[in-house]
Amino acid sequence: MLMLLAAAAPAPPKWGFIRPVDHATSGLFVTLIMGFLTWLMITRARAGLPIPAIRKIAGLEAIDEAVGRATEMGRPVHISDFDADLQYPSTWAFWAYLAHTAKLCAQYDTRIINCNRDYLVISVNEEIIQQAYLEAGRPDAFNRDDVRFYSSRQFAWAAAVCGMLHREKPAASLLIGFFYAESLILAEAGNLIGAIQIAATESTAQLPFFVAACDYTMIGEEMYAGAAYLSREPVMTGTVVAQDVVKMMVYAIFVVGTLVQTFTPAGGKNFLNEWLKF
Amino acid sequence: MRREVPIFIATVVALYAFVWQVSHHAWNTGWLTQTDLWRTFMVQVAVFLGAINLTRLHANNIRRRREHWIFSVICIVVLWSYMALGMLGNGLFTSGGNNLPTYRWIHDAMLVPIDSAIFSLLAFFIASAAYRAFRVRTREATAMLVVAVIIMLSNVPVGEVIWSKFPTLGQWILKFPNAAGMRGIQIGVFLGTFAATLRLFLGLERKYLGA
Repeated sequence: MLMLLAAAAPAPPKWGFIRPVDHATSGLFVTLIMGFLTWLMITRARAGLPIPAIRKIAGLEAIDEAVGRATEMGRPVHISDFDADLQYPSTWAFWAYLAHTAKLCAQYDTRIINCNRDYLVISVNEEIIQQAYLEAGRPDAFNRDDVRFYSSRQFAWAAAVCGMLHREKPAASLLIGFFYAESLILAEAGNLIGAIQIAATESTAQLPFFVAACDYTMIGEEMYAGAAYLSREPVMTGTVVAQDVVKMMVYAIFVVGTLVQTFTPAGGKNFLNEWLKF
Repeated sequence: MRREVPIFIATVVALYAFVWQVSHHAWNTGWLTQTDLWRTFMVQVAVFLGAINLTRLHANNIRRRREHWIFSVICIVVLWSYMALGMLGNGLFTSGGNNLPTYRWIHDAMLVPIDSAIFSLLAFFIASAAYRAFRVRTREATAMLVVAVIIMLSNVPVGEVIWSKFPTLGQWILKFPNAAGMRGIQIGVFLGTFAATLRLFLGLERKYLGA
């Protein structure tokens, strides 16, 4: 009876205008801590003070090598994100890779092929690639037909990309973003034509496929760090350092929470869990 | 100005969305419904314009007998005949064209099997990718091979015949070491998304402008 009454009781009040749901205030605190650390790192970087270095990510280093290989072989570079949408963070991360790869391709006069399934994303991709060619001083080398819309249907898109890979035989294939079951179809098609393959995804279900079939795979957060890493700007890498500091804090909370839970008597409350719920 | 204006708009919209998300106003989604209606309307107009544009493009391909022009013929025929069937099947401008048996048959008996055929390729690709990945070359590959064999045996009846504890062992691997690894990746993804969003908030992330 008491449990029923407790369940029916109104949610405890939150501070100010914060939503009356669990984890709202603690979530806001994490945001503020992350924001503060990011600001701190950016300020230090702008003042020329040293900030911790971020480790090298093999997959990112390999992009230059892949484009160089394609240039030597006289073959194009393919880069695509299957589940692209303007509102997905993975698509925004993909654009950093697209801009970097397009810039390299424009400099080396190598074709870049981008396949799309979203009618809004294709416009942004086209703009990014065109801008890269403009900045490289080769606006005439930009080929609008290489930024393609294939299909919004999953396997129609996958079949079309596989067909393109077999016909045009790109020397490098970059699969960056969010993928579903088509991930292995694309990766194996790329492997069959001998392309150097670099994958990056946050989809934990597809990671094993990419790890098995691609030469380099960037896992989860590495994909997001890539945008900052590729820029080589201390201000941008400062945000990745802030991310790593927060990650250490989260892991510390895990360890403390696990220990508290382990040593809490049966029926007792884990105070950390209660705090985080606020 | 070409860069500053989009960055300003992106920052203001991102901050607005964040404040809206953490505040009481998050419960009031009326304005979102309105924007969804605008989006739906715009998409419908764009689809119609797209159909006309696609027809013009492929008609040009056919007229000039460009390479693979026969596919342009198929594209135009399929596009307009399917649209006409959906619109006219139950009478012009009446709803429910999608439920017309012929219309549904084309979808269910042609499109779905083609989709399934491509999907079924995965079975062969999994085998070839697994062969490469499981070759014992390093300690990591060896560990992967051993775990994969245990998981495979725990999911087939013969595994239980060989050793009755295989299903339990397989479940344990999935429930503990595998779940722990996956959660570690998920937390990293969350923080990575967070950092990327902050870069966007602060106007540091400009790649979407081609910068």
